[in-house]
Amino acid sequence: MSDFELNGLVDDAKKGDEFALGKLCEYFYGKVYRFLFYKVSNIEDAEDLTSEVCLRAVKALKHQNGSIEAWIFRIASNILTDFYRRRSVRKVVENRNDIDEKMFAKNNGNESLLLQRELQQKLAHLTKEQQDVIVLKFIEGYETKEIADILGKPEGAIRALQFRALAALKKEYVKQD
Amino acid sequence: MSNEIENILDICLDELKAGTDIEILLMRYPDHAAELKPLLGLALEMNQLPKPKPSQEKISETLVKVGKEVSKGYRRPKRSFRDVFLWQPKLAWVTSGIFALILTVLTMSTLSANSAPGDLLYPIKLATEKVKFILTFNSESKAELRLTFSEERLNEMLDISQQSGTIDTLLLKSMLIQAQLALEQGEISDEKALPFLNKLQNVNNYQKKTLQNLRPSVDSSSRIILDRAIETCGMRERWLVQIINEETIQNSNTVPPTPKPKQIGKKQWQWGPGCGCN
Repeated sequence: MSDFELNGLVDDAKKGDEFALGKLCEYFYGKVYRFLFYKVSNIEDAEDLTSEVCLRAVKALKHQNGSIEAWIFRIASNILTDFYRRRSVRKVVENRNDIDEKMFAKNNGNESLLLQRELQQKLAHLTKEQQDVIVLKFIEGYETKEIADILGKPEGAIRALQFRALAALKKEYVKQD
Repeated sequence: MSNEIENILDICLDELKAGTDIEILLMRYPDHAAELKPLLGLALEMNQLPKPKPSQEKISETLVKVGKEVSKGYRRPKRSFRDVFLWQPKLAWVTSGIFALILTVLTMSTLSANSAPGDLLYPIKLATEKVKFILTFNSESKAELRLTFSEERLNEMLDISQQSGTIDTLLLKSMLIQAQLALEQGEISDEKALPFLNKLQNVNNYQKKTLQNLRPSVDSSSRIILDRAIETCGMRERWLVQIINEETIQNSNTVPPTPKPKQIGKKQWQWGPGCGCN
């Protein structure tokens, strides 16, 4: 979807156009889901949190200003923080090897899912900011400038974060080998 | 140095995403090739990693939730007065107009309360009295209002006579008519009949005495008019005494009836013969 189309949808949704609102939710659901997928322990949590992001965004859409993508990911990030605080699961998430076995067992033989799980496990050893940069850059495919906008940091800081995050992630893969 | 590798990595990542081969990129930056190679390799793997897909069922569930949320509040947001006026400027104008009208009417009626015949605001005073009368629905209150108007006309007439030494016959006539209409206004309940007659008698006596006091200070032609009015008040006084006596006797002889709260008696009178004020 082009920026022009996206901005048009946002304007219509703000005016109460249900169709535009539905389209926006569908568009961002996948993006937010992928962002959260690599940060929580199981698919159900990722789906529930994504729904929560959509609902919170719909409620607050009238007051949205600036980049819609940055705004949505900020909501997702806030909801994730609340989620960790609520469940005190940060430690559990850091040890993702032991969790969600049922989900992966169910998809035994699905190579994609195994690779995704592996990345999920490695990411857990990175800082929150490094995780954000990796997911936004390589999973979501955002440019450095867009990531800077989403995370509210200067582009230089994002480049530095990106370098350190990639190096740290590579170390995790090397450790495994 | 550190900044340089971060910038080079960023450029390489963009090119990698665009489809440039890793080897070509490494050849461009031979000094950093060793450091860049594993990072670009990892980046390429991640770029090629299939993206997690949410279940369609969950997306639909969320859309239903969003729909419910929309129907709850988003579609019809609670609007503040400011918002309503912001979106409907016509309504703002109409409301402001109504407020301005109410304010003007209240101001004018307050200012006109003490006006005298001939004043610019006097017609507003009369109009306000009419509106008050129309907006009063209880016949007893209407009768009270008639008495108030009658007293008001007397005061106005006194003011004019003090200034000019003549009698305003229209005001005098209006005073007498309002008092007459007060009695004929409508039905008055049994329990309020005697107090109302007493009040009417007091007003009538006061008007008669005031006219008598006024008589020496006016010219001869006005005196003739005053005499007729005083005579009318006198006749009314006698008639009222008679009626009040009858009411008093009737009340004292009446054995307390069985309570019938919904059948309260009503009284209505007409001035006796010769009590007209023409």
